Amino acid sequence: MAVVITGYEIQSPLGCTREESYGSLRAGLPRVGNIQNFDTEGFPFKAAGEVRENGQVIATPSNIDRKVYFLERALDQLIQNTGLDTRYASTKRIMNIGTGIDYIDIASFFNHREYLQPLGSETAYYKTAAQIKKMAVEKQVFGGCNIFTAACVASAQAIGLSYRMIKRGLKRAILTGGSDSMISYVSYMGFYLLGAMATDPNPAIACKPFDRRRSGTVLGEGAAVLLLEESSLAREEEILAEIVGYGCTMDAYAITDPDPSARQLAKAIRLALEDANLAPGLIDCVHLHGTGTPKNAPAEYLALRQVFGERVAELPVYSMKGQTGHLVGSCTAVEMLGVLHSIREQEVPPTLNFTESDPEAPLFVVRGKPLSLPIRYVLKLNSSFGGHNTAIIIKKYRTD
Amino acid sequence: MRVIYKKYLPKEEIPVYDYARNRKLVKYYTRETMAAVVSVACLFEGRAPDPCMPFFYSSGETEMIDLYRGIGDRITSVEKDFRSTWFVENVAVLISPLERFKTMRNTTACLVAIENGLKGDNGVLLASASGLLYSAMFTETEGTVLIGAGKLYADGTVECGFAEGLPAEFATHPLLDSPGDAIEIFQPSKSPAVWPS
Repeated sequence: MAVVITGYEIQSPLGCTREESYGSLRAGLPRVGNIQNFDTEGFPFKAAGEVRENGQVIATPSNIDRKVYFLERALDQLIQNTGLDTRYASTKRIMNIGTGIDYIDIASFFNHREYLQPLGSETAYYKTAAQIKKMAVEKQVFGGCNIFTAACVASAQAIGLSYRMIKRGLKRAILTGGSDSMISYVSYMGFYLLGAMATDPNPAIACKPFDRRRSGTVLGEGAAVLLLEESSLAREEEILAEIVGYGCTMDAYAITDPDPSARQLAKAIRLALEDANLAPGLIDCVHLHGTGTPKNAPAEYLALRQVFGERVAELPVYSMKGQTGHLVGSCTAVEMLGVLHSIREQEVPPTLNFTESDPEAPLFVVRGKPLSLPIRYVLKLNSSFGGHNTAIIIKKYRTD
Repeated sequence: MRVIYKKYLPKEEIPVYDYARNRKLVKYYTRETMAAVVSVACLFEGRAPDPCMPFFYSSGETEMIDLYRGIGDRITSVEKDFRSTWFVENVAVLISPLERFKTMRNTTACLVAIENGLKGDNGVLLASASGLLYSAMFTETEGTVLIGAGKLYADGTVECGFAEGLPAEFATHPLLDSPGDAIEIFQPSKSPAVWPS
């Protein structure tokens, strides 16, 4: 029995279908620009990776959280494209989704002086969990709806639990992944005030994962959902890949910074390898978190070094964030597109905006053009504000 | 199975300084975090938890609207129609980094982990009883698991519950497939027959 990915749909800066997104990834075109979703006059920094359709940034309909809207669009595509509703009873469908902080339509909130209204009044403040749970009911998902919120690893933890559920014998169809958008007045400015934003004024090259000149990250937005099934219940021709290992740890070091020793990040990798019953030497490439922040790259390098030793110098790595920005609560789910691409095309994509190696993080970052090589196992790493670390191992299906 | 449940009323002081070891971090604490830190300290009663103990936590679908209300209260000039420049000059300056941390949904779980040195398997959920119990059931780590849930209400009331038990002990909980909020797992009125008093 294997835990297999049989569906994947995405709404992201790379595109609004899986094939469009593969195309954008392969073309390597930057998808970060100046924000168009709202007026940013007076903002000190305006770069973001926004979700576009036919070249236009998608506007948020009224009465819905922007990230919940993206999730709904991705879910509709997934349900339609997988025939999920004809193969599993509604009580056998589970949704495990990673997401971010609540959304407020700040313009409406101030225009209508909603902050002066009594507690409990109807306001332009949208509770994400309530909206996602309501959506699960509308999509006939009655087997459970669980929402994960560990910042940048929220969707990794959602995928991790989904994998464990099926591995441990729950015969269910699990819709998992994540959706997030911080491209709104309060969330964007709040993130800027945390000091994690890049300083380069050119949005297309602002986020430089692993590069010596990196100065910070850029926010992105979007949703991606995967369908996970037990292999014996799946339609074999739809299997995209197999998940074979998951590990998760906590730094318990600081609320703001990663543990510079990277011991717990390394431990998460070891736990995933043990779970998959794999030797480190079998990992063919690593899709890293790669935020573009100064502290992230050395921590990831040190973690890889602890697990892979000298091989770290020749182990190809990749980060999608140079192209899309950092999608926070949905980043793992959206970055799974890169993993599936590596397995499908047998190549590691180049990391956009990486040109100068950092002596403190001398990783083998693919640059310029894709690196072709036989790929059976991909390691996907993510870490978050607060110190959570996740490692997922994805395998090309039927390569034994 | 060891279980604790606490509820603090709106103006009730939470004795966090009697329990917090990392007092410098208390500035990051919401009332939910304070209640969680106190509850975990009481649950372990001076024992140091195993650093590898898995820890899963579900925050409540709470009222962060307070942050925005607070900002509204501090704004002295309000333009008739919202404008970006007005937001930057009048609202953004009131959003402190500290408040941003407090709105992050994983802050309580992270601070409880730091306070107790918990470095093992983990997960942070939002308002998800089922997900919390399944996370505990399916952890790959041997030994006991710590689960917790908290909920902060708009009026300042806070509820908090924690349980330390073996994965199999969580598998029989009646809320295992519930769509409800995780705090219900600990509320005596919702789970009276499940947990020891």
